[in-house]
Amino acid sequence: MKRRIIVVGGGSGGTIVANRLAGHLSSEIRSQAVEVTVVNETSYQLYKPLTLYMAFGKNEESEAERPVRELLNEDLPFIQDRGVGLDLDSKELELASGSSLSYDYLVLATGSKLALGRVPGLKESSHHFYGPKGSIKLREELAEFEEGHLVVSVVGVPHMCPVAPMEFSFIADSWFRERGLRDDVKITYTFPGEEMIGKKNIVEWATPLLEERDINLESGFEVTEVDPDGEVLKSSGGEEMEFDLLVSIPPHRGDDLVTGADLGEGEWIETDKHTLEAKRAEDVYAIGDATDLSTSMAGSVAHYQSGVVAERLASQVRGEVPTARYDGKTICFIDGVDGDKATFLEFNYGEEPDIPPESKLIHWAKHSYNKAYWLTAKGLL
Amino acid sequence: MEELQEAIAQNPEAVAGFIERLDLTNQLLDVVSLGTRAMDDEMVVNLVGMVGRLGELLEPASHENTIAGLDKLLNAVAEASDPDNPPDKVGLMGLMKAVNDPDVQKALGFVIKLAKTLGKKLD
Ligand SMILES: Cc1cc2nc3c(=O)[nH]c(=O)nc-3n(C[C@H](O)[C@H](O)[C@H](O)COP(=O)(O)OP(=O)(O)OC[C@H]3O[C@@H](n4cnc5c(N)ncnc54)[C@H](O)[C@@H]3O)c2cc1C
Repeated sequence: MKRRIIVVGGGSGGTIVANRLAGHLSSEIRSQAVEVTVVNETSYQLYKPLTLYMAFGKNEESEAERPVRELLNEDLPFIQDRGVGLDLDSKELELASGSSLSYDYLVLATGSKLALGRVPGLKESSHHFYGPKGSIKLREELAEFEEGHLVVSVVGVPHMCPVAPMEFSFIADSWFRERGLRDDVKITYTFPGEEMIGKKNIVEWATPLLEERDINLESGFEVTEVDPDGEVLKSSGGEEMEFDLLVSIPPHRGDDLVTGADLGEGEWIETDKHTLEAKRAEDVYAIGDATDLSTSMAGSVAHYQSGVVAERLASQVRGEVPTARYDGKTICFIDGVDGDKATFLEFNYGEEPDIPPESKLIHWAKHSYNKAYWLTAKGLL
Repeated sequence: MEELQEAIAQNPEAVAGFIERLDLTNQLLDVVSLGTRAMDDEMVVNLVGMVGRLGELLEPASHENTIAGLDKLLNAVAEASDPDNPPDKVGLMGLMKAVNDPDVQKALGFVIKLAKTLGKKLD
């Protein structure tokens, strides 16, 4: 009998896991003993890291999108549809078009979505660089901004790419410096916790660099409301901060499919940190931003997790004991220091990363990787 | 240590230059370290496999005649695919007319020769 594996989500994690499965199970797929199907709500994949650069006119939307069909191994069926319901007992995925698909194994790679509506006033009064439309609007705003208070505010945690607000602040600093406007633009970076990020070494590396560049750091600022008329940010502690341009890191939410199927306490899938199995369902794996793991919402996490899940599934399909385990591996660049310098960090669960000094060479490595990313999505790199 | 101090005193520029290069070397080593940390076994194996296959492909592709032929072919594909000047639909009559065109005749000659050679190689 044919074994069916369904991957919901054709983003970074979804395409990599499917393509790696196509590699491990090529003969089983050719002989039709196994079928690996990818379901994605749009026909294209968005490579999200480029939206940061779009805001500064360095990348275009067309560079950040590719048809999912083109990224997938040709032996894998692709269905453009939205998963709207899950029956975990009868193992069926219900699609928005009305049909349903039965599975033997399911991989959920549904990522995260923005939830600007959760904070009153945020949608009307802030800009963001977390999606192509937002970034292009922000680009227009930045191009005209010549003086005043730019506030980069982390409103929602967790959010994709924990270092992105820091990168945005660095790039904005050099952007205004290059235009001779830096003395007229005050930059403040706010975050809700005591520290800007959970890793001590990053805080120690970044704090002096941000301070030397006159980027004010405002810790413990938990935004509860934005007053669009007065251009004022309000915090849970009763503080108010005026701004002329607000760039927010909006709250994120999991997909409704996850919430509807009760796969976690909140909207993130309760996931085993090593096996990546969903804790509340049989034969379901979860990878990437959709999980409740303490790892960063980062493409590299989705990537390394995909490798583990593909290996485990291949073993299971062949009737072997799956042994591959995820150890928390994360790689992250921090780009944009003085516009063209970057560093990178690598760590596993519970580890503090070493941070090499920022350099142009690492910045070039990051941008070369961005160009080569589609090879990664295709499972080649 | 004394020797080092003397060297610095005698030739400060050379030492400064050396330190600058050491800096760059360190930066290069950071990028190498990034590579080794980012890659997993499967990525390395895939990459080497891809480069290997590309190498095999590139061997005949780098032949002088292949380059000349492919260059003409690719330029023709680009010109024929110009979205501002799309090709007309051609029926049987159009096809018969086209066969009288000397350019089409040359191209047909090429395609037939290609087919003959390919046929021999397929044996
Ligand atoms: C500005 C920015 C900068 C970033 N920079 C970096 C960086 O430098 N390095 C890094 O590692 N990461 C970075 N990231 C994070 C990275 O992009 C994400 O962590 C990564 O995309 C997560 O992959 P994923 O597969 O889990 O989710 P996604 O890539 O978001 O893919 C999820 C897919 O599932 C689809 N989907 C969702 N629900 C359904 C459904 N019900 N039915 C069908 N399809 C569905 C979505 O349409 C989407 O295509 C950045 C993100 C942003 C926004």
